[in-house]
Amino acid sequence: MTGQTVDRPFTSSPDAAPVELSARFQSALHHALLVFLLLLTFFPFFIAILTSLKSFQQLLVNFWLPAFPLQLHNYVMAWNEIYRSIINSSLVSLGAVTGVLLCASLAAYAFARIDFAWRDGAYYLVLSLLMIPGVLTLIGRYLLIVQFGLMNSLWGLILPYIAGGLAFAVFLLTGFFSDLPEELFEAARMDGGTELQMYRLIALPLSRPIMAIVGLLTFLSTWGDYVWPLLVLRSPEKFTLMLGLAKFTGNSQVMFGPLMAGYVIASIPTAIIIVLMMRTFAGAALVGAFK
Amino acid sequence: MSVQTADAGLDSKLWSGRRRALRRNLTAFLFLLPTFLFLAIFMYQPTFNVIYHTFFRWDGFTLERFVGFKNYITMVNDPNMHIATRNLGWFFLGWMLQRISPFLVAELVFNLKRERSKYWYRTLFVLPMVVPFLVTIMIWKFIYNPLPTIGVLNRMLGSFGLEEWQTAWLSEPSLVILALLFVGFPWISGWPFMIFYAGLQQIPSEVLDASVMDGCNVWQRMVRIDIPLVITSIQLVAIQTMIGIIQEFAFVLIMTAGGPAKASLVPGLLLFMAAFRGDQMGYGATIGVTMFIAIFILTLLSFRYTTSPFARTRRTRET
Repeated sequence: MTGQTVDRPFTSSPDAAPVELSARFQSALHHALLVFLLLLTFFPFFIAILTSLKSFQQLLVNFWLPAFPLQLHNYVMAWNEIYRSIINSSLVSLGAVTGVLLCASLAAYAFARIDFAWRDGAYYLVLSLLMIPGVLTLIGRYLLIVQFGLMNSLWGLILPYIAGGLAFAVFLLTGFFSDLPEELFEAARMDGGTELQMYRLIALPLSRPIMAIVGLLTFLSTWGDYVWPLLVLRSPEKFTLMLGLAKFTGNSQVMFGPLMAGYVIASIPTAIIIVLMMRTFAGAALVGAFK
Repeated sequence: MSVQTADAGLDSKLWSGRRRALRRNLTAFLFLLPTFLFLAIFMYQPTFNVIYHTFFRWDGFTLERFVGFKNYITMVNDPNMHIATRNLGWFFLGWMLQRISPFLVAELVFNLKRERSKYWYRTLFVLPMVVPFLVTIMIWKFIYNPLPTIGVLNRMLGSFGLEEWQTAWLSEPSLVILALLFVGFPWISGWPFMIFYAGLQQIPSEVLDASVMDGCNVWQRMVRIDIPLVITSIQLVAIQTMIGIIQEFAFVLIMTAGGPAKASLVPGLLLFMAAFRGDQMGYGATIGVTMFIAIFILTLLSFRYTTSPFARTRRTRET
C-alpha cells in the first residue's frame, strides 16, 4: 500500500504526517537500492584503477584499499607498451569516421532531397544490409583483403570499416535530412543553387548533431573492434589498441599494475570523446537518436 | 498560330523537363556513387561470394570441387556443432534476460521525483560505457583469475573464510557458462538502458497523471501502462540482442577460446576456427549462412508476434 505513495511520479503528498514519514522512508529505500546498483556497476572499474596504482607486492599485501606510495610508473610502463597501437587505432578510427560521414551524408542527401529514378529501390538495397550479420561477410571480406594485397596494412581495416558503417549511417542521416524544412531548399533552388551547394551550405551545417552521433558510433565500434584487426594485422608495430592490449595481457603474467594502467589509458580517449559530446550539443540528441 | 506556339512551348517544356529529370538522376547517381562502390566491393560481393561457396569444398583460394549440400549435411551431423548449439541456447537465455532487465532499473530511475537525481543516476549508469568492451572483458578475466591471492572473486571468498569455494572459474566445465554469463554484473550500463529510458520519457504525462488519479499502484502501472507503451523499445532491444547473440564469438574467444574442452564453444567460434584456423572456408561459410537464415527467420517471427500488444491491451480494457 505504501508503495503507491512514493512511486507516483507527481505526488506533492499533502497527506497526513504518518504517510509523509513512510514516504520519506520509501524514498530513502529507493535511493539506497539505486546507489547499491551503482556501486556494483562501478566495482570492477574501481578495482582496476586501484590495482593500476600498486606493485605486485602491494597487491598481495593490501588488495582492497589504496596502497602507498602510488606506483605511478606503472602508467609509464603501460604507455611505452601501447602508445604505438594508440596512434594506429586513432588513424584507423579517424579514417573510418571521415569516410563514413562523407559517403553517407552524400548518399543520404540524394535519398532525402533528390527525386530520382529507382529511389526507393536503391534505398532498400542499402537498408537490406542491416539484416546481413557481420559474421557472414567476415570470410568474404578477408579473402578480398588478401586479394587486394591489403593484409597487414591499416587500409585493410579502414576500407571495410567504412563499408560496414555506411548502411546504418545512411539510414540515420536520410531520416534527418528528410525532416529539414523544404522551404530552405526551395529558396536556394530559386537562386539557382546546385544540389552540391545545397548539400554543403544547407544540409551539412544543419545536421551537426546527427553527424556527431554517426561519427561517435563509428568511432566507438572501430576503436573497440578486436576480431577484424586480429585477422588482418600481422606485425606488432601495426597493431591497433585492442590487439596491443591483448598482446600486453599475454606478456605480463604477473605485472597486474602496469596491465591495469594500460586498461585505464585505453579508456581515456573514448571517455574524452563521449564527455565532449555530452558537454556540447549532442548529449540530448544522443538519447533521442535511439527512440 | 497561337495553337502552334502553345504546342511548341509545351514541347520544349516537356523536353526541358525530361532533361532536368535526366540531370537530377545524374546528380543523384554521383552523390550515391561512393557509397555504392564501398557497399558493392565490401558488402554485396563478399555476401554472395560466401553463399555461393557453401556448395564447394574450398580452402579460400583454390576451389576444389562442387559438393552440393554436403557442407550443410556435415554441419547438421557435426558433434561440435551440437555442443555449440546447446551452449548457445544457454547463452541466449542468459544474455536475453540481461539485456531486458535494465528496464526495471530504468523504471526505478524514472520513478524518482526530482529531475536532478534522475539526471545524475541516468548519467552514472551510462558512464561505464566509455570503457571499451574488450577492456571490460579483460578486467573480468582478472576478476576470475584462478590464483587465490590475485583473482578478485577468489580473494573475496577467501576474506569471507570460504576458501573451499575458491576455484579456477573459467576452467571448470560445469561452471564456465555460468561464469561467462555473470560477466558485466549487474548488467545495467549499456544502450538498452538508454533506449528503455527514452521510451519511458515518451509516455504522455496525461497517461501517468490519469493512472495516479485511478489509484493504480506502481506494479500495476508498470504492467498495464509502461510495458505496453514501450513495447516497441523492448522489441528493438530484443531483436538487436538476438542478432548479436547468434553471431557472438569475440567475447568467448578472448575469455576461454571455447574451453575447457568445448564447454563454452559457440557456433560463431566454430565458424572462426573452421575458416581461419583450419582452412575449411567452405564449411565456415556454411555455418555463417545458416546463422544468417536463423537470424532472418527469428526477426520475421518476432515482428509477427510482438507488434500486437497494443491491440491486446485495448481488448482487455474493453471487457
